[in-house]
Amino acid sequence: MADTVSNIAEKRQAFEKEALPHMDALYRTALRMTKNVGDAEDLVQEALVKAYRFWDKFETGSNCRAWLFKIMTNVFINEYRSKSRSPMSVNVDDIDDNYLYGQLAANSDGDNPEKELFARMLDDDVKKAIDELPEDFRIVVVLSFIEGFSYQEIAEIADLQLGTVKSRLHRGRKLLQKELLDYAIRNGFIKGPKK
Amino acid sequence: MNCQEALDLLYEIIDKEASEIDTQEVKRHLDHCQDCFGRYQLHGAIQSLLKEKLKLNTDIPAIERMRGNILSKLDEIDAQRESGGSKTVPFRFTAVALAAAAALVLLVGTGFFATSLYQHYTEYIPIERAHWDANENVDIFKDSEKTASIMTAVSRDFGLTMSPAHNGLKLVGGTSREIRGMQVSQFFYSNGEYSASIFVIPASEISFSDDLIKTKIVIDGNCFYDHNCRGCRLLYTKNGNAIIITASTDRHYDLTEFNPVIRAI
Repeated sequence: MADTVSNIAEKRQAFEKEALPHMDALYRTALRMTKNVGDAEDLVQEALVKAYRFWDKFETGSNCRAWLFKIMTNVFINEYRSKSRSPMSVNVDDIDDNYLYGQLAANSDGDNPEKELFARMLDDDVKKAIDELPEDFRIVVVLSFIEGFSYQEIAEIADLQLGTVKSRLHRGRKLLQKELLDYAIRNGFIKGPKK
Repeated sequence: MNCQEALDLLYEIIDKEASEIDTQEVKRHLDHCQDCFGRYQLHGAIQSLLKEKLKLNTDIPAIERMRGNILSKLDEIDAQRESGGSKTVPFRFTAVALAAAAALVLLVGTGFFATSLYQHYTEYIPIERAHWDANENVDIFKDSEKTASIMTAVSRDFGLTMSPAHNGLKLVGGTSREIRGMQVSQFFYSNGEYSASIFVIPASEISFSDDLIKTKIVIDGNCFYDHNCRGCRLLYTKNGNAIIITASTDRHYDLTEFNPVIRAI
């Protein structure tokens, strides 16, 4: 049965008004998920077209942004992940929670060690550090750091237990801190650990 | 609360996930513990710097490219839905679907349906998209030199000028775009909530289709042609040797009351 023309037009208008404005944010996250521009563009397009097909299932008044991210994360995990998946061989348990703080406090002369660390770090350097995180951590870190989703929202978006979200986020943070600090030392932004 | 307890809550506090009670307790602890305060400060600063560095950069050409691709895919889906082109039609609906298809063939046969769809995609959608684009990329209208030069051109070519504010909307600026091979001047108005675009096109470039002429409405002696279908609302009016097209993002905003175009003396 054909939908009526006005029915289709209404759906289309609602979709363009409610869903399409999230394209920037979806793309920003897609770039960090796929780690390359071409795949990121494909992923966003695929996710939004899929969202349009399922627009009837979206409940008006509920969180459209989270719904779109759920669709995109799902497409990513099912269709893109295998292409770029790196083996999970990282052991973060030996990184102390306060590794960064300890290192900074020990190796910096200033009052504001974090300012020294970040002053010369470029946007691309930070993106690269995120890109180097193992994929399972990266998805959670990006949804939290870049998009500001709550733990509960991330659990729904990535289809994970709340506890898994918390632990992945925690471990992702530790790794990220270590990467950023190593990077800063490598580039001489701050002094290396005394030997 | 001791230091270990305070540090255990560090990330939950930074992520604003800790309970109100825990947050208060941690605050009290930080008031008198310099060491923990330092750690909180560091991690808080890292969090906001990371966010800042990751948020920058909107790749406008990429966004535009995706938007174009997505919209044309949506057009395809709409056209499919309109023709009932679903691949999973239940058997009992087949007869109805066949009847609908026959009706469709009749319409296409008369050329009416095909023409109106064709016009929709070629004439109206590109204008509507230019307005949506303006909404997403307001910054391109904030170039005051560019706006001044477009104003001068419109005044010279058509004897028209744009008022700086009208009916609650303020002029953000103007730009010039190529839409379907026509050079079009676009002025963008907004109040933060609603927005509208005024497009100025030489009258010689556009001929009104029969469908558009049928939509004629006359308000206070002014003639408008109101294209309002399939979620796309555009109001056409003629002013001297110019065609003015008004587009709004809000279907309830009365476009007929928004006419900031003034004939220069």
